[in-house]
Amino acid sequence: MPVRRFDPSPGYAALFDQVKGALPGDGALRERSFERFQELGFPNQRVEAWKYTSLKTLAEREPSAPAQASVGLDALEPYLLGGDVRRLVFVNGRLAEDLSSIDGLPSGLTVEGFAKQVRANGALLADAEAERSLTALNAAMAEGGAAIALADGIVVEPVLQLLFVTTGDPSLMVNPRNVVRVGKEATLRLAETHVALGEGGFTNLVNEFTVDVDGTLEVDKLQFGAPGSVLIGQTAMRLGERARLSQTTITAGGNLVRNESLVRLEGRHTDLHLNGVYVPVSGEHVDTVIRVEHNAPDCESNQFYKGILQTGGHAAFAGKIFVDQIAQKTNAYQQNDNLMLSRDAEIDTKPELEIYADDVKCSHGATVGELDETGLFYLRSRGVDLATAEAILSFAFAGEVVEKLIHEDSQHQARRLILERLDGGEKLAELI
Amino acid sequence: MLKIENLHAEIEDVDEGEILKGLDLEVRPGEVHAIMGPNGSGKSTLAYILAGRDGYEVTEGSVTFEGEDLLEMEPEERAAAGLFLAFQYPIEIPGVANMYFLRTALNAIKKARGEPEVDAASFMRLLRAQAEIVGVRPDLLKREVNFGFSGGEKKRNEILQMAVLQPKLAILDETDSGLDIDALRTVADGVNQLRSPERGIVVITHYQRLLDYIVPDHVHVLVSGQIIRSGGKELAIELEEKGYADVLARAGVSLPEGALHAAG
Repeated sequence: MPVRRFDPSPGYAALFDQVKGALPGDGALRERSFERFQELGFPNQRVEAWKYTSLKTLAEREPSAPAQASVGLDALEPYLLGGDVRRLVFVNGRLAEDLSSIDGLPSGLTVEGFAKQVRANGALLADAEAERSLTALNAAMAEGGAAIALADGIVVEPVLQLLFVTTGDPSLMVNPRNVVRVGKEATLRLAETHVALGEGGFTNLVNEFTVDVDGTLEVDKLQFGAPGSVLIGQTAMRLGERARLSQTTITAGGNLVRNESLVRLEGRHTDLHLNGVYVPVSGEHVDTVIRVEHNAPDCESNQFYKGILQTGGHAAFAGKIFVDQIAQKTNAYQQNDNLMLSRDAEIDTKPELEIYADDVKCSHGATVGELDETGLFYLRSRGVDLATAEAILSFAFAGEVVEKLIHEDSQHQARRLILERLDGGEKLAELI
Repeated sequence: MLKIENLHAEIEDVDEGEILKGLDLEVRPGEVHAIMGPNGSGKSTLAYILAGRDGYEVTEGSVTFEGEDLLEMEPEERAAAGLFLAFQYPIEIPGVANMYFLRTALNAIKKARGEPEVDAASFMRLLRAQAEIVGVRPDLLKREVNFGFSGGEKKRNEILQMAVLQPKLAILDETDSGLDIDALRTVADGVNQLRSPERGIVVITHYQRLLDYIVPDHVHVLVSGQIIRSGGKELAIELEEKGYADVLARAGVSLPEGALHAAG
């Protein structure tokens, strides 16, 4: 048997031993999870789902515990959402109460630090049998994150922001976990923002989103990494009958970013939208892995992702649609369009359909192209220089996805950060 | 202002020989020239070469614009120097708002000329006024550039760009194609508003129809890459009445079989 793992460096066990006494929740469960992680190791590139993303460097790291760090609100200003927004801020994995503000939440909406929840209910971390090693690692060490529950029938209009910040030390490892439950006929809007200040660190994120019958969850997911930061996250989503979930992910920065979505459509007539834009520049790698399972009839799912790749940037996209035998009348769509702004960039895009029902509509499309020459010439013939013309067209390419973000400030932030990454983009400041 | 001498050009990487075969043309400030010719005569090639589109190779001859070598300039430099091409097929740019596009273009040109940029409020006033003159509906200003516009709307949008950018020399490539008579009149009115003693205009067209509304000072007949006859506005009428073949025969020009197949 070929080896399908990278052994974690001894630093992982050393770190676990160092911090486990202080972790909230059931210590024995934590131990079992960590053993499970050690057993599985980090997957290597022989594992199909990891074919284009190497965790070698990550496995070889000697991770360190999050140091106490204080961050001023002013440093976070570019990432905060304005208006009537409540937020939880986590600095290096820990809830920063001074930066957070969740006063005056509507009744029926409970927002707590995950640590507090897990103290009350250790079983929240019952991932000791996890198949996914990174989930087991998270279960062993998760400390920060949010536990959010919205009661049946409550509609909350203002966006709730979860802001995760890492600072300085590149060897830092944090394991946030967010558990979000939206009740029947309830509506919740979330913004999940990840920001790496300084050099970065490794964030190993696990999210669980559950939307009950007739519920709605809308999520803006903004990822603003730093040159050395690593963000690997899995979001497991479960949708009940007629539930609606839409999520838009903007990835602008980070040495390695991997977003895994595992969606189970469990009730009839669910409606799922996963959108994203990734803009890797030199030295950056963005990997999107999606599995949408149609486990009930009459559901609709849409995946709509766009990539802008510049010199030295690398992205991978693997979107799978699985349709169970009973999931008749499924509508499932997937589109992944990539703009290559350089010959020295790489995109690996792989659609996958696995369909066991016979009365379904499924489609997938993947495109890889360059900027339209005639469009560039048209802009230039009107006096716009080449670099600006390229930035305008690239920016416009991403626009269709960016405008799906639910909060105006999310859109503004996304546009600003995308423009900052484009050559000639600085001249387009007034576009945003 | 524009001087074309013995211009020979072909399409790059295509072994089909020369499209332009020794073309001469001089446009002075204040003049309106019409270049007429059948399909395939090289009209659009000439327009694109003047605007600086990639894909054409000039093998001989020269083009100067106000004494400068035009062929050495990038498309955006030509625009800054005061050249404007109204496209036969205006390009759609999804995701870019028409008015943003126009303001970016105007300010890019102003910046290249060392003039102060126009602020958003002044620009909107200017744009609304010009849009009304050339018959562009206000809602089209907010829409994406040419995206989902009708043929006539696209052509009017070209004229609007011209009106906003105020070029020294405007080249209109088949601006009449696809227009009904009302749209043709509006577009022609827009062009006529821009006639001035300082500005040169070159109207490229297949039909005489547009020249009823934009009356030229000079008419040139372009066939097979050469101007084979020049004259006043009456030449356009003669072409319309007698067709290209007759006019050419009387000029003593013989053409290969098929050269006039699409002369209309």
